[in-house]
Amino acid sequence: MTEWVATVFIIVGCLLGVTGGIGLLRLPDLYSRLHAVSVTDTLCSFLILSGLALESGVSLASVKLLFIFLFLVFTSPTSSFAVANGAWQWGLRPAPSGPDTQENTSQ
Amino acid sequence: MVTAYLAAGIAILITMALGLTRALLGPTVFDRILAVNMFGTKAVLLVSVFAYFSGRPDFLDIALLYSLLNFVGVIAALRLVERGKHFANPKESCYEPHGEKR
Amino acid sequence: MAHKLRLFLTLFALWLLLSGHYNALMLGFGGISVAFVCWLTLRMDSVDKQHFVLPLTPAIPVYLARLSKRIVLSNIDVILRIMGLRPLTPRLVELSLPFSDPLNKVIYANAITLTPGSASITMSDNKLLVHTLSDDSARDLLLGDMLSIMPFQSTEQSLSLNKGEG
Repeated sequence: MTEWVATVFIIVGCLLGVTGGIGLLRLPDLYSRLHAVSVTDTLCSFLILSGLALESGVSLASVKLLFIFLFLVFTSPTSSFAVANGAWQWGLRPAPSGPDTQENTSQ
Repeated sequence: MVTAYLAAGIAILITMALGLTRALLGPTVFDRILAVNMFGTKAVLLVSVFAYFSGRPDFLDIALLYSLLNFVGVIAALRLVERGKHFANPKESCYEPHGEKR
Repeated sequence: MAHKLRLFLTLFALWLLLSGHYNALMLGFGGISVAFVCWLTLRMDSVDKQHFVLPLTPAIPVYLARLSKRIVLSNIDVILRIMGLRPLTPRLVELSLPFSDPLNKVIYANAITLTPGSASITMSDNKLLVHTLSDDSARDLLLGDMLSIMPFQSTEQSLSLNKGEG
């Protein structure tokens, strides 16, 4: 039972990761791509790492997976804020959005 | 279960390839840094999955270390761009109305 | 002294969890390295006095639970928008911060960045510039959705709803 739950977690996490990668390619400007990266950093890594932790139960490996997750969760907002803030200070502005944004992204 | 690990590893590799494509396409240096950041996060996940795939939990230490190094690397690259004004081309700082770079 | 002892014990517990070796020689090496790290930390403390104390109250688990729920919901939302099932309407929003202490500001901006679909870009004295992927999440933020889950509520949460277009 636990094994099935773990498998489902890992597969869903990987699907989220691939979707985030597609978003990184497909979204129109840097500030939108931040959100795609944010998807892969939060729920995707949580699902994959907790799937692996479920697989090994209560052990030192699970503790290490928990630490990896904590590091990722604490550092990912910091680094994405650093990227956004650096780009903003440097003078990068979001692409003008209009009703035709959807067409532009699916080129 | 090994099949699931294999599928997960392949999916993570696909994600890394997508991130690498964005890093090569740019267009600004910040897009590249963002893509490399995601690439590093995926590398951490790939190493963790590989630890279970090969049945050697020691690899988790490498993943742990890499998750720290990745963060420090991204911050260092940003400092280089910001302070040294390296690699950041001011002509890239505004977008054309159609979402493409000039 | 209590601070130093707490630091040493925390680091040693971390070392024990990460190493998984429990014979005398390895424990000795671990003790030496932890003492070295403690010395480094204290030495750096003499230069860098900037630290915040996070009060450990029962409000924190509640905050984490509510934040996780929002993270999951906004993940699904962003995924649908990436797939093109919902429209993409990127917006820049300026939120006014009803806090004056840095800790609350950091928690708030961090929560906004951690939820996909909204990312804080820059912060001035009491203004936070946020980029959102959709009109809906911009509206939620302006209505104080993220403010309502803050663990340390400040009394002056008057929301002046001023927004800026990008």
